[in-house]
Amino acid sequence: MKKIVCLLLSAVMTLSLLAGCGSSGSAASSGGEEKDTLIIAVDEDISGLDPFAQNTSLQNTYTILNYDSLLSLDPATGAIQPGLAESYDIISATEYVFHLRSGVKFHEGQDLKASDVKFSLERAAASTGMASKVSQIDHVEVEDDQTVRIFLNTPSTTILNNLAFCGTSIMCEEWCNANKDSFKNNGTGPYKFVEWKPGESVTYERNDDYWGEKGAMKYLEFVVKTEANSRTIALETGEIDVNAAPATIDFPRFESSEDIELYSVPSTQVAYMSMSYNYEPFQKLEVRQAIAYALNKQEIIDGFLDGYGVVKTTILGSGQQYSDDSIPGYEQDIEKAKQLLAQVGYPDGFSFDLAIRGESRSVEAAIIQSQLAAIGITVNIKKMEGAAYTDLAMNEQMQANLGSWQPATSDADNPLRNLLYSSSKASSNDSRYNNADYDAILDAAIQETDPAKAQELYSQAQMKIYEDIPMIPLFAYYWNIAANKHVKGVVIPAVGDAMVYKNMYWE
Amino acid sequence: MKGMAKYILHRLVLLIPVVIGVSFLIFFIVNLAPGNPAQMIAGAEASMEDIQRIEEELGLNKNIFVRYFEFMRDFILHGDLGTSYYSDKAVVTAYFERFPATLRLAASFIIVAVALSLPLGILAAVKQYSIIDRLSSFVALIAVSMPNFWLGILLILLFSEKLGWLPSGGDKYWYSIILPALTIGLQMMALMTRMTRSSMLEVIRQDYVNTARAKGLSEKIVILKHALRNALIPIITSAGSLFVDCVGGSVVTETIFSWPGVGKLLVDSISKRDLPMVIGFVTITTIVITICNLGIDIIYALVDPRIRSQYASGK
Amino acid sequence: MSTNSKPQVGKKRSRAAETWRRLKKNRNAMIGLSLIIIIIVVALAAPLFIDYETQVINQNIAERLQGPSLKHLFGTDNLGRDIFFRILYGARISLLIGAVSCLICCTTGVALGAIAGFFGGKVDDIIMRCFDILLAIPSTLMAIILVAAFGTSLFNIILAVGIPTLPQYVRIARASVLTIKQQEYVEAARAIGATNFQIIRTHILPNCLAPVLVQATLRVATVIADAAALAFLGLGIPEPTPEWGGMLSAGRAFLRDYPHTVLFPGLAIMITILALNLLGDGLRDALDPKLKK
Repeated sequence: MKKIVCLLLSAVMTLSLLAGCGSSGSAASSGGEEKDTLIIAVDEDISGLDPFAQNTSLQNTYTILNYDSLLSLDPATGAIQPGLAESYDIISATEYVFHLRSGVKFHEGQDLKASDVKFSLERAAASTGMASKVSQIDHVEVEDDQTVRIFLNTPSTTILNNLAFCGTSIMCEEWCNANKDSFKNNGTGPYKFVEWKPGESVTYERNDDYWGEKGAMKYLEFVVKTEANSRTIALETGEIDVNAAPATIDFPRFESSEDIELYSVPSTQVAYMSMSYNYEPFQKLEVRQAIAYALNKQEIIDGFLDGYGVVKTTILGSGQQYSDDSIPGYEQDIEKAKQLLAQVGYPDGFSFDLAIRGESRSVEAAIIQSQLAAIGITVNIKKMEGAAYTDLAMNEQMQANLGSWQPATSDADNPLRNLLYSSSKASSNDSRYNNADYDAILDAAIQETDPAKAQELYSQAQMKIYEDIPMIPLFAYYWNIAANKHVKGVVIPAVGDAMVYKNMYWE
Repeated sequence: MKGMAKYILHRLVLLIPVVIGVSFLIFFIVNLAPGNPAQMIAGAEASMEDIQRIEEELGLNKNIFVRYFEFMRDFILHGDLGTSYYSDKAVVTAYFERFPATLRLAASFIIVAVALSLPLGILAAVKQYSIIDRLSSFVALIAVSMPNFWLGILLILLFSEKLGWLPSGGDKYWYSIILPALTIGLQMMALMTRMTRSSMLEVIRQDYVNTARAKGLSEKIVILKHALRNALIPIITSAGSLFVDCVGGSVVTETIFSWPGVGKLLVDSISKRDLPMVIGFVTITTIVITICNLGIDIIYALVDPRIRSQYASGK
Repeated sequence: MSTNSKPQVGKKRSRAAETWRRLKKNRNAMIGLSLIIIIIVVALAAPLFIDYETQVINQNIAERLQGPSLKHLFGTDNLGRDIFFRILYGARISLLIGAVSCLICCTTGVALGAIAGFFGGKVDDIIMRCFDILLAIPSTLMAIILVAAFGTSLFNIILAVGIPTLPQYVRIARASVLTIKQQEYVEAARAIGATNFQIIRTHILPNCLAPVLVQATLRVATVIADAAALAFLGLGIPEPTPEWGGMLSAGRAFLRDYPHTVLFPGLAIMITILALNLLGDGLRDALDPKLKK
């Protein structure tokens, strides 16, 4: 019996060890016949088909395939360009007129009319996910089939960013009303919806009657693979062509692989640690400074992201409008940190709860915990699942938390307002930062039409964050896509959270 | 057979208080748990007004007992378990969209388990205490003790990555089901091998087996035809109850292999606080499981004449 | 009561000794028992030899993901922590979850089952209905819902993995009680004025001890496995506490190039569960009056 035990144990161990060493299987290409479907693995499934139901990165990625908005974003630069509207006129700070392209058709055959624009914007305002994107709009008037007049309730330059965002996609009024109970995607975009197998895949087919630059590949199939390993293995064996969410630990193999290309670009998703003004020690600026001086952001990036991240001193991503990378940061200085703590009555440190949502920031939290232990601060990591986490803030019980912000639109106002404006409690002002000066800067900046002056104002806002430390920007994630070398046309957008697939093709 | 019909009816009637109890329990647990569904749907950029508006739309600001009453009323009167907060799809529709995948998976576990355990168990019983017996016993123990997600990951590593024979997840090809099936199937096989073995052992010792041998029948026929048939009864019940366990959705397997079944959907719904989905799912699962259990009992009765007579006499 | 207690105690003592004798003969059960004892000793002794702060949770990014070596017996994980020490400490957590969970559920379940069986009637009906409801919900789902709803604290996890095991204890206790209730010596005890409580304690509980003990041993194994599964799904005990399931879950991202991060926690879980199964099976065989070895 003992012999058998040993034999079997060593068999199990050998199996697992063998699994680790040696080269992986070669990427089989599905070459031969003309490949007409690009297969992309994503890490989760959408909850529903309605683009307005939820503002999530995955939903938005699909939405830009199916729909167009009045304006659009150039993926490479993030600049705002014409979309369904060929041109627009700014009549006043609160009045815009958009001139629609003619001859545009929806996938199901209907013609695009101005009344569809009014319908879509009103639908967004009543939706669960995109209401905030059209909250500046007071009302919409239809002048004729090609002309729409939009009235704002407050002067705001970000209306253009919002109208370039897929959350204001234009839908067909007639069709939507007729199909209330069986919503399906019917847009004007470069790809048509084919089918959704819940939990499995979503498939799109190229719209050959598209008014703009047509999609490159005939079919796009997005398959759901929630396990990171699964996606990596599938990419290497050729089961999929693109891995939309590669794990950083696999990057060295991708980079050295002959069949796989890794695309890695600093994104606008910035991670931060927020400290609440509700918690007593955090009410002292010196405590915040001490914590800022105690952290070593590069070490966090190395441990958590295997080095694939960029240290940030501002919460705006580099591609975001008006971001200012000249904002100074706090270089690690343990002695100074300890001094500051002693100065305000915490010579032996103190403890606080650091809330994280789910498993993803676990490692990062552990690293921060260890870094703060060096100055005597005990961090209690509270891993919570999504709903409990949001509740914590709502109930004013959050002490500190690790968050991140991926602005869906390209404007500076989006992160600055949502994260730190005094009335943003429901959204994401976890720190409960309440500073009238800061609010005033943002309010002035959003109305400022002169880009130079706007930059000045936004830089001021970013400086204020540096001075007051309501939160500490930590790093920007890299946006990574791993694809088979045969896949061309991979462009990772400079702004926004929706990946662009329409230009990808297989060669 | 009238006794049988009465029994079935009796069990189905008992189902009602159980379903009410289960839905009540889950309804309250999930609703009292922290988290505001309206906020989760609205997302990170919502304003207080948005959240309140959504709360009203979803009826979340009503008293909890009122909501439970409305929920039960819709369920009993219209068979309507509500609509997902996220996709506007009816819960019942969403469930039965994904249920076939879970059902197939559960069935495949049993098929793998039975196909492997039956011969092994019979062999082990026939050659009791031999090397085969000991070996299969031990392998079975190891298989049962392994955390099933560990086994799953190792299988993916071996067959998907190293050998490239099988896909690492999803349900696209007919052979996509093999790895998931093996993950739990092997563990079930372990359990069932022992069951088969002890069941066969008990039967082999019986007199009628010796009689068959004395009659001059070959050992093979004695074992396979006479002994096995009677040993099958507890084996079937075992297989049946294992199957029923998995019909509820084997969450871990479905997660590892991105299998589009109900288990995974349930876990996702819980984290999103998609209340109608969670409550509806658990309710439907309860009904499905109870009916399956009933089915097993009926099969059991059909196979075992002793039990059948008990029902016939209206126990 | 005195006329019954002496032979009862005598029966108990020799029964325990008899059980132990039979258990000793079972080689597998002994292997299981020894393994369990080793694990318990390791778990209890761990703080004496290993300093939690410096060796278990201290991170050393420079040394991350190293394979097994003399310095780090099982290698290091993705934060440079020694896996061997984490596994040793993890034994404490896993055993704690297993033991506490089973203890709470065992006593509660047996008590409820005994009450249900003993008093019968309405009490029995209500209790059994409640547990039918509990049984109707698949155990993994129940555990996930409870933890997702109420959070991932140690106590919540103990309850979440334990609650689905309650019905079995209730059933066993109730069945035992129902059989014993009819026996003559219970009537005799009543005749001499024993209270219900005394009867339950002296006659009924010792008799369900056997199957309950077997069930409890086997359940500790399933509870540990379920806790690991919860951790795998991201619903486990938060960092930096070393818990085997959590370590496995964290390691799976590194599976292909650094399998040791997954191998050792998995082996730890497997060996513990194996030992418990061996012991439980052995106990079941030893306590089974039908088997004559």
